[in-house]
Amino acid sequence: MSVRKLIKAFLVLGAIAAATVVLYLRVSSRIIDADRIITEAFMHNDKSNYIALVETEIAYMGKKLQAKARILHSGNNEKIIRLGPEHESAWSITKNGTTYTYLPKDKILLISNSNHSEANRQRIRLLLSNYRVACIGEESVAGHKAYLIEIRSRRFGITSKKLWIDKRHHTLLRSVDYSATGEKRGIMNTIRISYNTRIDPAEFDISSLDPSVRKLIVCRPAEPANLSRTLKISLHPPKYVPKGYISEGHYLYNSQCNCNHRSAQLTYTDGLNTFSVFETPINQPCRGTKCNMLLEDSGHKGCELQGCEMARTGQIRRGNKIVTVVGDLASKEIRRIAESVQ
Amino acid sequence: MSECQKTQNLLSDYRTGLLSPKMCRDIEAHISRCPKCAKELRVLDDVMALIERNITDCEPPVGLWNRVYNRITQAQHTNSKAAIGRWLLQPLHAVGTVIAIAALVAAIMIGDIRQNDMGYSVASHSHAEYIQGHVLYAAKVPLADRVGYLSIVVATSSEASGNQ
Repeated sequence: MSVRKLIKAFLVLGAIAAATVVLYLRVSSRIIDADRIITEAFMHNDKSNYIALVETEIAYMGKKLQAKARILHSGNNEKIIRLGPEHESAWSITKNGTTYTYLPKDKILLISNSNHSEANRQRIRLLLSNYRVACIGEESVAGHKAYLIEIRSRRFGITSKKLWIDKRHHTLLRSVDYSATGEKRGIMNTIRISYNTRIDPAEFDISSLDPSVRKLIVCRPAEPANLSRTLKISLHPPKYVPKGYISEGHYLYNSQCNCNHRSAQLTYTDGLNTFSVFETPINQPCRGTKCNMLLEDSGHKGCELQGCEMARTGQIRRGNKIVTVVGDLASKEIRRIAESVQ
Repeated sequence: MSECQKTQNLLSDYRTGLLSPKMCRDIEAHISRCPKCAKELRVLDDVMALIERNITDCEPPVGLWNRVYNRITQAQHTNSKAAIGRWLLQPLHAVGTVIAIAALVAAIMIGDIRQNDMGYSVASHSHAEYIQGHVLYAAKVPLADRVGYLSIVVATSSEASGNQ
């Protein structure tokens, strides 16, 4: 082989190696960027300050629930006012881990407590271990430049969520959610957003609410032993939990039904999606009312499944309690979780 | 680690079928030429046989009851098909069945059977309240569509409170 041919071969090999290195660096930097972007969006939520007008469409029981809402976000506090044709709007206020949801039609304020002050760090670690996150482009949403992030399940290889995250402020401007079976189940889109606008602290005050409004603490953290004592059932977590999910909390759940029956709510997350296991004693004070009738008379020889796009439910009787599993999982997974509760 | 040690560490996995076909072949090849490891495998088999003979309390697998129940009901359904066919062949029964079907269709069209335009049945009262409870929790996950979830809480509220 002549020296000339050797030099040529050397140059070709060198060019291929250089191209490989550049490609690797581009791909790896893209992955690292996406991880960083999603982490900042997760952690920045408590620091941002904005007023936004958003529109959403979410599938529920075969219907498409459409809504416009005004969001007032100031650090840890957030108020969502649902804009609709109704005389009075439904709203929710979240402050310091507690969410107050006002439903004018029922004249009720639902209060939901959680103990998740440190949960976001754990969730982001879980999310990155269970999902592949990639930045697949940049687009403009409501006049703001945004990264388009795609989140794909590592286990099933399907797209679980797409997010448009503001490049500068790290806020979520648009999202598309996909169900466990890959169908589109919800869209959120920001129409207008203005940052660093002063928000009157009175906006997050619930003391001015009409005193005739019924206040119900629907959800409060509780120790498993206390839940067993309070509800007089032996509380057992499911023996089967889908891969990637971890237990996140135990709560005492008060039903909104007028007979106030109560359940233990066990919550699980994989960083992006969630499911709940409710264990409800059969012998409730609401005996004779409609909800108790359903609990006692529905047979429950096997697991009774219901499907909707947002969450599937499975219900099964176990001794002196009814076990209900709710989550965006495949029906067979819901059934398996419900059946694994002792 | 010697080949014998490696093989002996994998024997229990080999016996319970947890190894790949290639690893199984490697172990079988080694056992065929190594009397020490072959003896170790026989001891393992004896111990497993002893355990199996003495197990008295065994928990049924998850879903056993449902599988049995579904198979029983499926068998009943198959047997009853022939009987239904014979019954329908009688003219009076056939006319009665047609009238009953027509009445049911009329009830669906006119009555308050709660079926929406996409063909999903509306969640029963008891399920709606659990969906609401779950949504209140799910909405707290960062990056969740909280406005969409609020729409679901509003939609489930009347069902959950019994104001239908």
